[in-house]
Amino acid sequence: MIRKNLYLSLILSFTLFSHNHLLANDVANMSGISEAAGESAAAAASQLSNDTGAITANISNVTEALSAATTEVGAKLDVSIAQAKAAMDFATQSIEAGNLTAAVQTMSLVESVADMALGSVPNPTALDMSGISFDDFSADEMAALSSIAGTMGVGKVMAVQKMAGQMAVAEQAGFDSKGMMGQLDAQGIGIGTAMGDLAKAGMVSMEAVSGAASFSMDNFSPENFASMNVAEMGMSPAMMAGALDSLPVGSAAAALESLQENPGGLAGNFGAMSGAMTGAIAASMSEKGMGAEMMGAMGASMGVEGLAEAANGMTGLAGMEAMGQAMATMGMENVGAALSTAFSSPATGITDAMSGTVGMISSAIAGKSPKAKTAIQAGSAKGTVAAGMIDAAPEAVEMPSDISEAGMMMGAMVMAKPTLAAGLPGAMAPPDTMTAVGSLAGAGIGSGPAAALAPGVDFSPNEMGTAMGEMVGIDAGAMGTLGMDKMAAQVGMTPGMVASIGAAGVAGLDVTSVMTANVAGLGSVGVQSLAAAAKAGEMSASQMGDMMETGLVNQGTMAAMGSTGMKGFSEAMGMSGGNMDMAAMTGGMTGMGNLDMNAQMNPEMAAAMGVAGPQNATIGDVMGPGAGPGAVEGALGGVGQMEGGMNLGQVSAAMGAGIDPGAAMGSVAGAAMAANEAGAGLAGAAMGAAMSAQGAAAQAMGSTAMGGAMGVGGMGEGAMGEAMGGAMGEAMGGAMGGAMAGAMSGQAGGMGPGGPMGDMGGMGGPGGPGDMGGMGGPGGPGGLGDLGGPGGPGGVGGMGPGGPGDPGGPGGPGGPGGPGGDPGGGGQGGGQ
Amino acid sequence: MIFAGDHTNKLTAAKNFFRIIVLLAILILPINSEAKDKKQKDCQYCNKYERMEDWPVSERPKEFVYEEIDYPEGMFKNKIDRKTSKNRKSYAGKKVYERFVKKKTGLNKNQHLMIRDMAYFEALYNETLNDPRAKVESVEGLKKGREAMRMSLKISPKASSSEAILKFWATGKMLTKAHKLNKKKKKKKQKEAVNPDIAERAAVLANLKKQIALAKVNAQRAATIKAQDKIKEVKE
Repeated sequence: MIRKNLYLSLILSFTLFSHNHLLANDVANMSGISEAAGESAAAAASQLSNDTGAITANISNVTEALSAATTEVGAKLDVSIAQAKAAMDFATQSIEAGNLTAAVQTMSLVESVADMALGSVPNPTALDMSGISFDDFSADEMAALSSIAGTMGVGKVMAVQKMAGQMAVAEQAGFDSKGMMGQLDAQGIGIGTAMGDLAKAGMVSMEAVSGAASFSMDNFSPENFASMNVAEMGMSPAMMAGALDSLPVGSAAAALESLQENPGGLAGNFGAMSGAMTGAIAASMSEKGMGAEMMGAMGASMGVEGLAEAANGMTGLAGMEAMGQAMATMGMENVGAALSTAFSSPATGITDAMSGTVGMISSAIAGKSPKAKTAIQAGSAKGTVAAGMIDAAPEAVEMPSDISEAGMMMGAMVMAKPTLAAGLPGAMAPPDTMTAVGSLAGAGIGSGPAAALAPGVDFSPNEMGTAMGEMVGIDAGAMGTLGMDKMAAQVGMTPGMVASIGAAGVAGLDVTSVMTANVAGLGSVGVQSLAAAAKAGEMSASQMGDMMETGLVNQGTMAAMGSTGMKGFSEAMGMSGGNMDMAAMTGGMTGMGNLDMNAQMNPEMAAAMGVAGPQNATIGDVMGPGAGPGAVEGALGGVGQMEGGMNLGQVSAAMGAGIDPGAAMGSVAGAAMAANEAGAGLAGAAMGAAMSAQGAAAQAMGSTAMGGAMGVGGMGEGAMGEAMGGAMGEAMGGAMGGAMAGAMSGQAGGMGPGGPMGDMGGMGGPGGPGDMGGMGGPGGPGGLGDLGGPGGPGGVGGMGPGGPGDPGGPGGPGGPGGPGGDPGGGGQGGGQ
Repeated sequence: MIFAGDHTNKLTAAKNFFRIIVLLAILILPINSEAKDKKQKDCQYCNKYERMEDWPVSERPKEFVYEEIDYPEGMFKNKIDRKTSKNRKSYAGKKVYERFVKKKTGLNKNQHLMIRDMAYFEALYNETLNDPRAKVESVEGLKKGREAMRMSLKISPKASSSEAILKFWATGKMLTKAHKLNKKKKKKKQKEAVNPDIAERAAVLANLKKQIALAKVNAQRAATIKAQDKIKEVKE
């Protein structure tokens, strides 16, 4: 009997190990492909080993140096430090075994745990919304506050999803991540605590995420939770309405599909509000710019009749009133209790996010940052334990000047699976294969040809390998010798996605967030059907315009639309020529047609994109003043024809964040022109695309989207480093800069909002009821633009023009400074 | 040392800022001067239309179309202030001037009032759209300001004024209540935050997080550098 059990165990172990790709030796796998791939993976492992060694030593020293905690919060933090040490020890062992995936994901788990623990630290610069009674708030006001809570809190939900994915990978690799979380939960800073408060706030339903009314770690499936969309996790309708304001439109589509499949069960105790829920989702689609034709097409593919009509009466203020009425049926005292938790519990992340964005704006207008010191600032002073830890920190590896794009792509392919094995957060509706469930089932990134792509992408591995060779200028023979073709096939993504990982990874962006934005929505059958229509050449110009406006043109949909779809988009936008196969496979980084400023956009497409004014606008008209060859936002003045065009994915990402089509196109085309002039090439294009995706992710995910190493520097002084640095700078000062600034300002534990970000511009004194002066637009991270002066209100009599705004100031400790926004318009007197 | 806590983060931020400024200066200054030569204004529609009355409503994007709003109770307390669009614009303008000009230095302390008064900024923008003599250039400038203010609550630039007003007003009301309730706790929080027992541990965790993030970047850089070496070998 004993022998029988032993054999059984051996067989089971063999089966588990041979089929579990997450237990694989990544270095050995890469060595199996080619010597170059193996040595590159070994170099990564060696570097990781050195750095984890330094970090582990740091933690040991710190643990010894810190005296016993005397406060409750201090004791909690001690437990998280101890758990971090255990996890880092496991990461070290994993590296020794060549399992980069387990090591990187366990390290990422430590980052998430640190974030969670920092959320419990008192932050004097944060808003304090505890103890409020909502008795004297009207139903409309409660609906508005629920919407704000949803908008601010969905980033935290995704942070917990990311952490759950990391837990699942680490657990499968042999680390007791559930045990770790149990220890943290005992201190009130684990995933169970977070789930409890998120459920009380209505951000998730405990029943939906853990299968029971109260959280149990044993029953909790982290990979399932990590892969859920907002309907599947049982978010309350009012919160969902707000969350979908932030999330991409594909998230709304996926939520609606889930609701359609299971109309009663998913919403849990919100079943009575299912009508309002459907209406709110449809309204979200409509408000993001989806027209009746596209909603009809999507509705048909989802089996929802009258989708466009469902949005009637549910948009804007009317929608909030309707939601308020629907909430009243649940009992306003319950809504008040949910709001109370939402706005006071650190676990929901709403306070942190809101304090960040509110603080950023108040500091920008006031021209100074709050005086209060955060705990982190105080604890990093000279002579502290933390300061000693800084001195012994790993150094950033400097990129040599001779790095080429081919090297960047190979490096990305080595690290793709280790970095993305936890899957992409389900709330953003990525393709199923790219979620944690897909990844753990062995169907995700790094699992073979086209494994990670959405249904409908039918480029062969050979085609994609050839495209990659063309992108980086390597011939087929060299590709074979280096093993790049096999690596590309194994990674299972398009060359454009690999380039994004390459650019984002070496620049310190959060690769998971960048990739999430790149494929958001493709988990929705409705979005897949739209891409299929474009691929078949059956998409109307109006629907193309809607796709652009709603941010649905991303790397994933471009690949799924194929060359026919891309040709349709390119021509409707007024671009000509190009290589549409390449454009589809590279997500618009290369292969786009030339952009003629005098060419006309398809009028239907322009109208659907929200381009105002008379029909038959030229590209130049749309982008700014001085229609035609004259001037486009100033930056493109005199440009008649722009070779290489502009990346439609970047334009769509900006428009999806609510940016005006002219501003979005002007910003992307301007950056592309600057990159062309600087000879930035693929690296610049990849960095531009990655930053654009980073901006879109920041818009949806808040601080969760921002990598801890952003702005690390050391990208090298060679052409590639310069190109990437230039593209980063352009992006930070561009259309999406504001979203990134907002996200960086909301980091947990009071990392500090951006510092003074520019003074208000000069203002006219009180005068007549004249026009108010303009205010500067948002600047890049850390730098809200100057707020040019409103002219004086009230009174009678003339008043002088307000002065121009000052340039935005440098960012504070929250993140890199930005260039400030557009100069504020002068206030104008309007004496009567 | 790149990651040396918040103070060095600040340095990195400053470095990045100056890089961006230099880059933008190179890119934009010559173009700006060219634009000035052509007397181009920094707005999109103002070159075509001078005043709102010149701009047909049918040709305006919806953000430039006036909205009849049933303002929240208490926003325009006196009947006279809410009677006409002109009066509402005037009253909202006064409130905006008071909060964002005269008392702007106190905004960090009075974030609750700032958020509430952003509702007046929205009202001011909306009522200005109804003023036929309003300059399009000014309206476009106001719109930029509106979008900046909306960032504080992540309100979409596409959202209607009425929706934004309700959100600012309700949030302002909530924050004002919270401010009254919790202002005494502020000092206690500050004291707790700088308590070395908490502060040092918080800084340790923040640094741990940054060091791990750096280690992951370093791994990819190391792979890239080695890959480049191998590419060179193959090419040679």
